[in-house]
Amino acid sequence: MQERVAGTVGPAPAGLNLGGAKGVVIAVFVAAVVLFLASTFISPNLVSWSSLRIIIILSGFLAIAAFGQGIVIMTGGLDVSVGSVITLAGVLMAAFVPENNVGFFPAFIGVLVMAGAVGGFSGIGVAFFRIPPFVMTLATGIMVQSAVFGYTQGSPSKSSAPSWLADITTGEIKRIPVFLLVLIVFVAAAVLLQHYSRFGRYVQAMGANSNAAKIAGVRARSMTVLVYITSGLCAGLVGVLLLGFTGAPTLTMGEPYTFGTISAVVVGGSSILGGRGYFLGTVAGALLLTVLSNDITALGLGQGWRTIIEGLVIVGALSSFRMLERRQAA
Amino acid sequence: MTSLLEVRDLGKHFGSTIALRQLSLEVAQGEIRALLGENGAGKSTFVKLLSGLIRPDRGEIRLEGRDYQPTSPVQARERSVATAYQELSLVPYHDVAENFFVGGALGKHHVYRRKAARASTRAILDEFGIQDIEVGAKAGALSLAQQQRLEIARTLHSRPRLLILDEPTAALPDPEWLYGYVEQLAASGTAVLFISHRLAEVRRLCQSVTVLRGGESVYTNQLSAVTDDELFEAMVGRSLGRTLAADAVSRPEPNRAATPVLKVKGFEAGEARVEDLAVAPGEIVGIAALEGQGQKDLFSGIAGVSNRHHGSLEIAGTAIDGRGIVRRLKAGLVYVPEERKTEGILQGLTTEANISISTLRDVVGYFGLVDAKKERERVAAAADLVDINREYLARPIERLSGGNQQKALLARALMTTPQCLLLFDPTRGVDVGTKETMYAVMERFAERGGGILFYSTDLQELVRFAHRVAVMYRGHIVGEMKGEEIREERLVRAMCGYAESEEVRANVVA
Amino acid sequence: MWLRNLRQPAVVAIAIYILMFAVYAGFQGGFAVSPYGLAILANSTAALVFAAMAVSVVMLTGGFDVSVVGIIALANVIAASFQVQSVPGALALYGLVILVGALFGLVNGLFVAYVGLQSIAMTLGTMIVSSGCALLILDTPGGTVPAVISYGLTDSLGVFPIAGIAILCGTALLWVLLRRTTVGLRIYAVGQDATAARASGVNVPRITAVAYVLSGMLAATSGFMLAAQTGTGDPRFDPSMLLLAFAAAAIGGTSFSGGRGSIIGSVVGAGILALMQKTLFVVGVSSFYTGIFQGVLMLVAVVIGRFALAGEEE
Repeated sequence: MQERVAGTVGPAPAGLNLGGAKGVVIAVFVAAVVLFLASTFISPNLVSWSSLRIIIILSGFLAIAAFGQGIVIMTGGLDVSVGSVITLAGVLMAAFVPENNVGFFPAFIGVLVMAGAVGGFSGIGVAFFRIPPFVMTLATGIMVQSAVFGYTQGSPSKSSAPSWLADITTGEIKRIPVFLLVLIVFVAAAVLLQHYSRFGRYVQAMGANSNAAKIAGVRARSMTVLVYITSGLCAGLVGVLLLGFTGAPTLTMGEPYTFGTISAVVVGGSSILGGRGYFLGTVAGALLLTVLSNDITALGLGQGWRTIIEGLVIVGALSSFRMLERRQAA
Repeated sequence: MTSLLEVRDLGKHFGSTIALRQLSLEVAQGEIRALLGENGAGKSTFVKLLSGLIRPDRGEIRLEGRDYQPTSPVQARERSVATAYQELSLVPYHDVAENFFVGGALGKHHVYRRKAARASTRAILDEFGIQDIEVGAKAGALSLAQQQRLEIARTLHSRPRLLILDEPTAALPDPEWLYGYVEQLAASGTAVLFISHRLAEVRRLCQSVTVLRGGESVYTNQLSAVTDDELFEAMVGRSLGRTLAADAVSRPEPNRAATPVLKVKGFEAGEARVEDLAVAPGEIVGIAALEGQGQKDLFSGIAGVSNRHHGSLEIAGTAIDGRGIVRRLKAGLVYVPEERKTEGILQGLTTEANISISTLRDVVGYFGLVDAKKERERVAAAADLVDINREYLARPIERLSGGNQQKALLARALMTTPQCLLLFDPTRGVDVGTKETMYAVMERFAERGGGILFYSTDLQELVRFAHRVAVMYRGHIVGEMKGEEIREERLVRAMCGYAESEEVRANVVA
Repeated sequence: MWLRNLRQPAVVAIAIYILMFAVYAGFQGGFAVSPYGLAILANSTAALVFAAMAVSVVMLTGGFDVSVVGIIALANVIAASFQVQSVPGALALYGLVILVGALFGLVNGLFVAYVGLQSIAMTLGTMIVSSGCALLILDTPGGTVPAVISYGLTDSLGVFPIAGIAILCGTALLWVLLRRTTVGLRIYAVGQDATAARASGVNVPRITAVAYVLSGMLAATSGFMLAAQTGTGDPRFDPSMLLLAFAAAAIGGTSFSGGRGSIIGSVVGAGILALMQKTLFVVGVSSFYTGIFQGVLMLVAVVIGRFALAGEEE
């Protein structure tokens, strides 16, 4: 039933070898840039440094969360608890630090551990109880959301994030957003993890052919749990960063990220069937979607159109990749 | 007698595998034709083509003088072609009546009236003398023999003009039941294609026989005019006169006194029931069997791919229970599976990554990152062992030829420094040059003290290569041959169920 | 012989329901069994019942349909956007809603069965698009569902809640469709073994597509019942409704790998979940925490269902 696509993932003697997928990644990047520049037709304000800054930051958040989602999707799963975990992280971070006077670093670690634990919980359900990933993460997501509601009694902490968290996310050094540097470091680490680490190689193997991977000795179950933990950690990180950016947590701060991350992964060329996974493609997808979202807002189109377009983009991307697969397999 | 079925130059390929080359045959009205052939000869592909499940690449089929190009089983049925499949077409959780209804055996309806449907189904079962099956019983709860009879009844009931029976007696303890009905149909003008490897039954029922080999029809004659040996020869493709054992490479006898690298006792997995099988260090043991005789279950059970098995399993002296492919790897057993595409290669990854996947922990450096240089060196060494051009290592593995892919999988297995290699049809679909390379690698492995258990559909290979060959039939080992005893014609006979001894025959039928 | 039937998941579900109802009635007193009390229960159950049925039909073919909640939102919003006064008008509105659901179902079915997209992926896309459409029609919760619908469907016919009658009719119709027609039996067959089904002469892609169309129509009905219950339109899709729908199917014994399941089981499962929600409320559990209960129940149901179904196989 599963058809895998030809396109190299994995280290070659020199650096990244993306093979045929290189084209997709570049195409999406180009599309994002073109779309950005074209938004000047909507409003000249859209093509400005401040606009660019916001786009970079927002798409960066999306990309970070989408890394975890991408890893999960590569193994044939899906994580729809991303939004809830982001909310959890943001709310808890705000609650721990200013109110309870817990040091920033311990709080940060604590929040990440919780986020990872949520992922681990999902992972155990999927790996050991063979609960379909969509169902499992849906349950986890709702449970987490409910827990957050309960903990905050419906009104999250109004205190703001520590100032230097805000600096990381919104600050600038000579007009270059500090966050861009953070993002570059993350992307580098992510690519390293995905393409050059043992973990990444096992994930790729599972994504390519889970049957063969198992026979070749890859521990599928432990890997599955680790994969969901990764997704949880990424979501947790984004929750904290988002808090720094917006200044105060809300109970729905993570919501757009659930489907946003899936869209970014799909549009970036990673088939939702699992298998291929190019984080750079996901980054490009995140960029494209953020620019698109920006333009839609500027056009005054309501949430309705935005959602429709997002949905159509997903279906369109999926179908085109599916057509490509078929043509290659023939 | 006029031709009911005419097939001319039928061709079909799957990817790079050619299933049917240039198949031509003719079957007359009322003729019962046997279709014989080894694994991979093209029988099941031919059946699928006639049944409308797949379409040919080229060639033509004429049925009762008219062009026949079915695009679905429904169209086949409309042209009065009916097939009783080897892989049964019953769904497990519907009861018998529902199965018949869904399959259209009770006519074209939109509404399922339970009482009427059950009555009709009962009538059909009665028509074929099937008394022991309740129409309300779930199909999956029935025994294989019962399911087979249902499949046959359903097919025969439609009174087709062309009847195709694919191994219909495989699970039947009493095939006589079938013959009467088939003969009735033939008497009324139906042409019958009877696929079986049981020559006794074939001679009982059929008038004529066609032998397929390599996707073509190589021999057609009246059964009365041909001996069993001639048929075996046609199936295998060469005169069986000379003993190929003489060609076998002379090599030292394995040390059977030492701890076996692989030992199974009282082993049950799926359909396989193996009482006693051991592979000594340095020994190459081959398994010969027709399709579906339990060999796949045996290998899956030993390899740990399936976890439903009982009995004792020892790898180099270490007892292994339960699943755990990793456990087996650690104990020294590595499995190279049959289906490269679905069980072997990791599509999208480079050949290098494919080869190193089982031994990644050996090339890991700091921070869990793969030491690319070390990996490259080790993989290159392994690739040299199996004679893979180093240039291919950086390419995605699916771009390699089947032979190179197989060699890569072998390299992957060898990198785990195993004591026992478990190979399932390793040279299937592989070119001659690659075969020779693989033989050399396997022999070197055995010389160094490794043990090999391998299943092969290539009898020549088994004769030439193995120290010992065990033949599997219906899940049991029905014959074992050592050294010079191994001959193709003996293998083929055993594979077709001609047991060497009464005792074994009794065991198998039970 | 009928003892074996007792172990059927549907029967177990009914037993659980009766148990829960006893608990609920314990807290609510006689009110629980009064016509008014029953009506309240039926009304709050109806939407989930149809959602569970929708999800189950597709699950029988081995797929997952998550677009159900999007279609529900869209149906809800449509019902809140037309002011009809009479019963024929309400029926026409229902017809429109069903048509929309069928359309989305058809799109799902075509892409999944013929283009070969994975069901989760495709229906995810459709869910997003359909909820986007809902937002287009109504950008924030609001609007009014015509009185003839909101009062009509939540009312009682004597002792019987109309919503309850709707549930019973819907269940009966779907059961007949699935277990007593060619289409239904083929849906089961495709889910059990698509290859065997094809060899038997079933047009697998077509039957699969039909299942998705059915699901769309059932989802639309669910949205319509939701509109009747809330009296207002809400364009936002509800993830917990999705979870509950799958949970209901799991409780009812529908296998996630397809081919097996009982509609009655799913319906009772939905009833259990709706009842649980009410019971929690009555017992005094803060509504913030319902999500946790839903999630836990869902996971427990799935795991138990897995073991129960596995036990049936040899």
